[in-house]
Amino acid sequence: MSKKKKKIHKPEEIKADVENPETAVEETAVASADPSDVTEAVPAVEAVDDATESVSDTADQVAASDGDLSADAPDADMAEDTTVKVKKPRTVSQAPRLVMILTAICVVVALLLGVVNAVTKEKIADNAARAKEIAILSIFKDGNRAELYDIIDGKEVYLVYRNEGLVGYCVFLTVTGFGGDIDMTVGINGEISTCGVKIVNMSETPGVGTKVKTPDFLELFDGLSHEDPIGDVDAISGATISSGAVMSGVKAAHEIDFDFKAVAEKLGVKILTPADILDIKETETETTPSPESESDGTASGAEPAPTESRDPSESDPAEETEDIPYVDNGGEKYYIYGVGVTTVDDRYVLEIKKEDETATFEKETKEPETEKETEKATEKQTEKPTEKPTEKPTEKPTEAPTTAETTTKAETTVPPTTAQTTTEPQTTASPETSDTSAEDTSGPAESTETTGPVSPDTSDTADTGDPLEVDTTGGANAVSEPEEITDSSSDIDSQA
Amino acid sequence: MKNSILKQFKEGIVTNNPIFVQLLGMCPTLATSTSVVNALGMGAAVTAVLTCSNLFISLVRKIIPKQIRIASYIVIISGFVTAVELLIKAFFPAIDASLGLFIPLIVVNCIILARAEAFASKNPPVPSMIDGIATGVGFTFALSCIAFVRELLGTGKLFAAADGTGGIDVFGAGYQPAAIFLLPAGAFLTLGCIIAAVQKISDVCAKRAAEKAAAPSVEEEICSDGGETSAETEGATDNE
Repeated sequence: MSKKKKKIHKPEEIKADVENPETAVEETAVASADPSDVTEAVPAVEAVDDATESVSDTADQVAASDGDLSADAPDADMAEDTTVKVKKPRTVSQAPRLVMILTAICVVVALLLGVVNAVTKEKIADNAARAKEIAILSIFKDGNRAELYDIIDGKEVYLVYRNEGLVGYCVFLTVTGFGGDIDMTVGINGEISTCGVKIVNMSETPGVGTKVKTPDFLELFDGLSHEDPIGDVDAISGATISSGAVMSGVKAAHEIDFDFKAVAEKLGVKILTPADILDIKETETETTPSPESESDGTASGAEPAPTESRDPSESDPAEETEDIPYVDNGGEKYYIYGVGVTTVDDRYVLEIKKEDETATFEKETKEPETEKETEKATEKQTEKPTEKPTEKPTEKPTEAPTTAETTTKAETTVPPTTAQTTTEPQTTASPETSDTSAEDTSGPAESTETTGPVSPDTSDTADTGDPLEVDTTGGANAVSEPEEITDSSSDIDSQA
Repeated sequence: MKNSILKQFKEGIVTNNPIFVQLLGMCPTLATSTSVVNALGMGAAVTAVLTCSNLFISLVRKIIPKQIRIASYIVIISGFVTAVELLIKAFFPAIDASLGLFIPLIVVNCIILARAEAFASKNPPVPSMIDGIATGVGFTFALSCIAFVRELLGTGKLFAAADGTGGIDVFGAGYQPAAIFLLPAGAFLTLGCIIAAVQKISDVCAKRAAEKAAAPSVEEEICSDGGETSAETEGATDNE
């Protein structure tokens, strides 16, 4: 095979040999720099067959030889190229260089990532834990601490504490929804009934499957007991799979092998009943001032605000003002704490507060002007018209800071009672003086009721009670008044 | 120097905008432009990755042999994307929750590889960095335009936070949102309309520029025509 000997020469010469046979196919086959074309043309033309065979043989030999080319593995692949392309030996020998450079780049990038990871690892873990805590505390509004207890059946169980007592437990689990996994959490309270379900993560169809995240759907599970955790809850139409997934999640949370009461005993921790929680809140409110109630309203789901400030003040105003009568002025409640005037100089001032303000009751022995200064002006003004609507036109010049509500209240009541103004001569200023005169008529018995609900002394003022509906609203204490109030109002009507 | 920086910015934002003109990186565009805050977050992440990767690639462009350049670029880009993802997870968890999967997907965003290949591998570090910033700003701008329309029509609110709360209620409570704009179909519709508008504007601008450039030669032609029309055309060219 003399040809073989020849072929050990440089690849360019191999090409020359191949081009010798004078067939158009060969030439075109060789002329194209594509090895695949050459191999395809091989069966067609015999002459080229030999040539290519020999060329590939030579390529193997070239690979094996210790000539210019080094015997690396990539050469076998490169050899295909050598059949038709002018191959520069240099690029093959660069293979180790390429590997080294790529490795170097990877090492540098990996180092960079290691640094970034070390810096951010803790913060990321914190964020994840914080997100869980927010989810738990949004379900257990009475709780203020959550601790991971155990992982049961692959589900995390958190115990929720309020100070030193247990409020309930929370199960974190993952169910398969329509568009992927749904991460959810189910809160179960001391009576082993669901007290809240929350979706932490989901990727359902927006507008359809995401409806399972709305409170309208999740609230349906609240209160359902351990035996029947799903009850009659229906799937959302159009989101069957997503709803079914959430429902199965709630069921699975109840079915885990976890005995809340036994665990509480084992840990020596008490399970708080609602009464206990109220007690705790009361003791806390004694120490915390009421303005905290304003910070409540701003606590949003995303805020990691501790719940201590939330709970005590939330329950406070409700408890305090439950039994106190109030007047409802278009949605605003004005609580009436007491009124009573016994003498001209010894005056009790009625203060009507809005529902979120604390009420005060003061005994004043000063003149009206100083009264205005010392007391909260708005409340004082509100009480004036209720006491003495007849005084209203005269009061206005003397008592400047009259709130809008009071003016409206007074205005509505002034017309019917203008007749009465004539009967009471005092115009100068102290509405209390007219109170005295009015109250004397109502009798001493009522004047003793100064600290409690609205005393019947206000019967004269009760004409303003008409629009204010003093007689119909308020607690049980106000029940005693209606008769007198209605009587005077009928008087007014007759006069008007 | 300043001129070239301005020129680069103009190219990145207006004439060669990666989304409206080059039409690159469509997948994350359509997926993350559901609200303006999301769009800004995504745009910021892409800008950060673009700038860093352009800078780094430009620094090592002479060392990387051309056979392995794509592989090296991918390694560098994915390194920066992972770093950005970790930083977002640590310091902006709300954005991470809403963008979710699309931050790691920045690796395969064509824009970054295209700029690396077309610009950073051939230019010095500082222009490459500027190019990265300019392209990133253009991407953010385009994304915000789409998100503005989609959020406005799809939810009736604007600038809602990453978790969906808050935002300015533009149409008021009685507005029935067109939820299609939150779905991919709406994204395509919005994008198509905006690209059409951009093309129209750029056509008009090009035509005006061409007219200005062609004005002298037009005059010549008309003068060479001679005859009746010369008077009218002279008047017309004068007005131009």
